[in-house]
Amino acid sequence: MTSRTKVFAAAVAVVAGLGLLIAVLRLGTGRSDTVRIGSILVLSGNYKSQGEQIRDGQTIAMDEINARSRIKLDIVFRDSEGEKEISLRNVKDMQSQGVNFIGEIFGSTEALHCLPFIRQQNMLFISGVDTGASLSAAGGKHFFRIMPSDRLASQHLAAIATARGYKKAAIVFANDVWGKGLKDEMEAEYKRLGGETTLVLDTVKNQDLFQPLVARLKADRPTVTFLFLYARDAANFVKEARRQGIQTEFMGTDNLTGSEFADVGEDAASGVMYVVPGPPTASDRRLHFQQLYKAKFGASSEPPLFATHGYDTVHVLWEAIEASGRDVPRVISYLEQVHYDGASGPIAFDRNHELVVSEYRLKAFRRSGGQTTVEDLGPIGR
Amino acid sequence: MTDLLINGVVIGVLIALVALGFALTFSILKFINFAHTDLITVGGYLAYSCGRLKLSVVPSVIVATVLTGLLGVVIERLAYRPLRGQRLSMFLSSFGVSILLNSSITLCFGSTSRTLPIAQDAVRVAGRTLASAEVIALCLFLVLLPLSWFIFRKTQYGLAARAISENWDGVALLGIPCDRLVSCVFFVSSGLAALAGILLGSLYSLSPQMGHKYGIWAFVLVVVAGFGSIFGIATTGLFAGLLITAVMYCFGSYTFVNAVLFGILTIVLLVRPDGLFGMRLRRF
Amino acid sequence: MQLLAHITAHLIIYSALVLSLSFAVSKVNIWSVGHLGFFGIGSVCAAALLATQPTLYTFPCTVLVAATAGALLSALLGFATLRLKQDFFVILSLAFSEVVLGVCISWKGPAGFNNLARPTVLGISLEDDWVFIGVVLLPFFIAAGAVFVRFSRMRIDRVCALIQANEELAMVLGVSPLYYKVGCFCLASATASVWGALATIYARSTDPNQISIESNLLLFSALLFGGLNSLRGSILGGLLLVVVPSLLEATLSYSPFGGNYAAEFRQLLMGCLLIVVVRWMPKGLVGATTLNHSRGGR
Repeated sequence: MTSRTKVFAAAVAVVAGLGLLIAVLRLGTGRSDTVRIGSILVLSGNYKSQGEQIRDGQTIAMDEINARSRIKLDIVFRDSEGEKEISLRNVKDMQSQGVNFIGEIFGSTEALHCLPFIRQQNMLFISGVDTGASLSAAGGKHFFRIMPSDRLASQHLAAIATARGYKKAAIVFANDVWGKGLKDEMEAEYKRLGGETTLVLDTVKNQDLFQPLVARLKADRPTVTFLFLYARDAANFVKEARRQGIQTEFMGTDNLTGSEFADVGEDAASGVMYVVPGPPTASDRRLHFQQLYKAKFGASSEPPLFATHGYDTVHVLWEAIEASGRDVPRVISYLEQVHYDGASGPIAFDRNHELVVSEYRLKAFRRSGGQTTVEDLGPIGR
Repeated sequence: MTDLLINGVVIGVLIALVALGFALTFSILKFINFAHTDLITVGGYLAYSCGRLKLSVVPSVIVATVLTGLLGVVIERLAYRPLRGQRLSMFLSSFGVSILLNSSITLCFGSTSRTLPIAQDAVRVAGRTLASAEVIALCLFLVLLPLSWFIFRKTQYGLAARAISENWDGVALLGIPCDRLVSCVFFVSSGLAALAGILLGSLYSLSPQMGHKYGIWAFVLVVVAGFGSIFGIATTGLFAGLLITAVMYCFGSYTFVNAVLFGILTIVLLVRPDGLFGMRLRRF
Repeated sequence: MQLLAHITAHLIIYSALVLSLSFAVSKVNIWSVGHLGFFGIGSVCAAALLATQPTLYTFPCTVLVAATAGALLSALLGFATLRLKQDFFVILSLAFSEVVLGVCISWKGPAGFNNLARPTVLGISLEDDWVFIGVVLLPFFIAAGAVFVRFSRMRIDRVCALIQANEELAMVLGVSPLYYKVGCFCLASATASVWGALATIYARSTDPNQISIESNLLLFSALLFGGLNSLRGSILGGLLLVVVPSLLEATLSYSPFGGNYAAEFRQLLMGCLLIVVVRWMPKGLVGATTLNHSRGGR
């Protein structure tokens, strides 16, 4: 054998050996007193901060459960790098390890890509953050989500905007799967209710050169501007808009919740409205989660939306597994009947396994004396 | 319209500052230093850390710039010097360094964006309100570019630095310490990157990926402007900033910016392979 | 078993991709750092064809269209730009990849094509992953490998070596360097496009996120890691791209750091690996040649 052949053989042997080592280590973790849930997040690149927020919320839930339960919960986090095939590979990896419950696949398009396999293998996937409208049809029995779909959010947003007389709108969106999905749904819904979208501006996440876009918005003079940007980008956009003296109402959905928008936007955030599902006041569980979050991360204000949803996803799934064992059909049946009081609001599922939203409410940021508060402006009829 | 013009100029100035640092290393060692983009980020985060340690603005900026400069020297010593002459290997090594820097920053600071509270107050100049950081960027541009031109055209060490890329041994024979000169250039280049990072962090926000966008634009700028021309970098930078602003305004979208820039890059290179302002050096 | 099929399929696809890049880099010293752009072109061509009703002839059609698109575009790019300095070609190559990414996103949005149906080949259904690997991926890879090995034994390989070593001498001997360079570049790019098409058929979707500057550079690094001008090197490169990151992440999740920082440490390790390989293993692990750093590569 030449030296090159030897090196090649050695390299392949090392990789195979590592693979074998992991397989052996995994055998040791298949214990009956541990329930394992898979969580496939984006932990690198532009969306890393979102993935980390979900991971933080889920880890807090996991620690809380392990502190009080005899049976332990282990969440296996994997990085999908935002690619569909890597997400699918991780789901297949979970399945090969006997993990049948997926507590998150971050990214509607990645989730959609994995759903055929999940259905075929009789697994269960519950999502806290995916908003793609086609997911529930694609997932069938095997998919639940505790985040309202884009369709629902845009229906309510369009309803309140047109009810308030805002008939001429501009949309600013982040040109990724989430932002574009929301923008498409919103355009359709707003048009259906008689509104007119006169300008569509797009940007990408973490891109903060907003001055030309705002100048374009100023020239268009819309009555309302729908902000489908990530919180920090939305805050910077609104700041720039106020700086240029634009006269328009800004409205968004739950992308503006959490403290980041208010903290970064400061005075510019005042008057910005958004629609969220849920009751008018914070529940005990929400306050409890806030305390846990602050204790762990030293945050001075509200935990981000994704962390809250990650927390709830794990708890809902755990409750179902605790009650029904690890049998997927039984867990599905349990979830179909569940009524869980979560940190993000009351959780129950309709026959499409979508979150039952009793009402949407309109909220607005108000700023005085350097402090931002959120004013509840009442429920939205549809 | 004037606001758009000013915005375009500010963006152009920032790109030109980044490009200047990048062009320095490109022209003396003839390789594309991918890690330059992450040194921008490092500079911004170092200034942020200094702020957290209760240092005031000017010491923070100085400390961040100097530390980033030193980091650049260390990187050159460890990752590039052993590969000198092998341009593609140096480029790939710089990519490795870039990954290293990026993951280190993420490990230390997390991936959430942060605000850099430096030079945040507004200044009235000629009837317009500008952020102080914008004014500082303009001043730096007006000072540094002529200064660089002077150093690299008129001083012995500047000329030697340019000559190194053509004839290393010749320069060494003249008694000029080449390795030290290269380290100096890396120090200056990394310092410039840090300054750009601090300004960007102040004007917008700090995030682990913040350097990449301006870095890519700076690469394109240096290639379009051509080798050896600081005036070219300044002019092309301003033009690029104005173009970016114009594209975003006209299309109402960020998506076309890169396509337009790269399209222009392709056309320029096809028409003038040495760049718009590039000099064809005679080969012996 | 499904997991193994998935990994095997991706390993073959990415090894072939590294092999195709090796063609451009080691034979004619073209530093095609935007190689994934051609992968993307093949991917989108295949997806566009499959999105219409698949017919009996769709599979060969898809592959042919992808190959032709890749070859034509690379010929265009090659003739226009291969006379430039090497560094400028690198930037242009990256720019090309970014433009392809922009086109992909503009065409079908950030989500790409989804729910494509796999066509049949000679009446055999390709729905099962292992059947797909056995009937499509492996034969194509064996063919690519055979072409590579055969090429290395033909006269044309020696001509390319001469062009790399001394272009002026080649011209004196009546060889036109530009045609050979563009020819090899076309072959490499067309191969990448074909594999893009095959990857799309396998995944039943396209993913614009696969085409980024970082992915391009990682591909190039994998080539360097495995070794230039070597079929085995390409396989090792494929291993680095497909298998090693997952293994690293899985191993790190058992480490004291817990699962929380596995992704970051994996990135750190990859960066270190790249620096080490470039510094201490210029031939890669099993490469036959080193990178050619001769002047400009005009």
